[in-house]
Amino acid sequence: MQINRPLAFLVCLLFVAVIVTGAFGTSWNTVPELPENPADQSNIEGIGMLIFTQFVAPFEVLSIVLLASLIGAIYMAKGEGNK
Amino acid sequence: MTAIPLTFYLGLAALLFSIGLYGVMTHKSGIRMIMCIELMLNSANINLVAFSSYTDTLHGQVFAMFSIALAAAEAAIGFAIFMAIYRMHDKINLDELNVLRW
Repeated sequence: MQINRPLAFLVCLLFVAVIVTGAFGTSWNTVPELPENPADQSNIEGIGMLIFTQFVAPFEVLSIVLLASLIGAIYMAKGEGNK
Repeated sequence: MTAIPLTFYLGLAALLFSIGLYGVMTHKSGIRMIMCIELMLNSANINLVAFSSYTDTLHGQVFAMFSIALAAAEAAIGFAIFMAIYRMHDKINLDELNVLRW
């Protein structure tokens, strides 16, 4: 199958035009200035608190997903010959 | 200090996503396609982190971490599939690939 590079470029250009127009034309409901805490710049503690309190169920599911994908990847990459 | 507006982050993410889209549409090699898919996933991560910073909540960054972990799993599975394809065809050309079992 022949790849039409100009057509792909045109599609990507149209895509980015639509997205950028939408992004710049919307008045986002955000804080005007980035919130800063000069005493403690990092937000690692907050992320850790969120992961282990509110998002602990997705975190556990994610660990199962990672384990399953690891086992699957090793099984597929090992191949038939050297079991 | 003047902060960068949120829309610039969104524009950067859109640009990155379109680069990934162009790569997926024009390349035949599987490894390059996986790299471009990673580009698209990471543009979504930029959006998540930007919105999370500009709304002064941390949920978006937690979601970005989950998305990074899922991207790692996807890349591992993808490369394992490509290794299996390479053993069968001696090259990874996704246009000529027409089997789903081997």
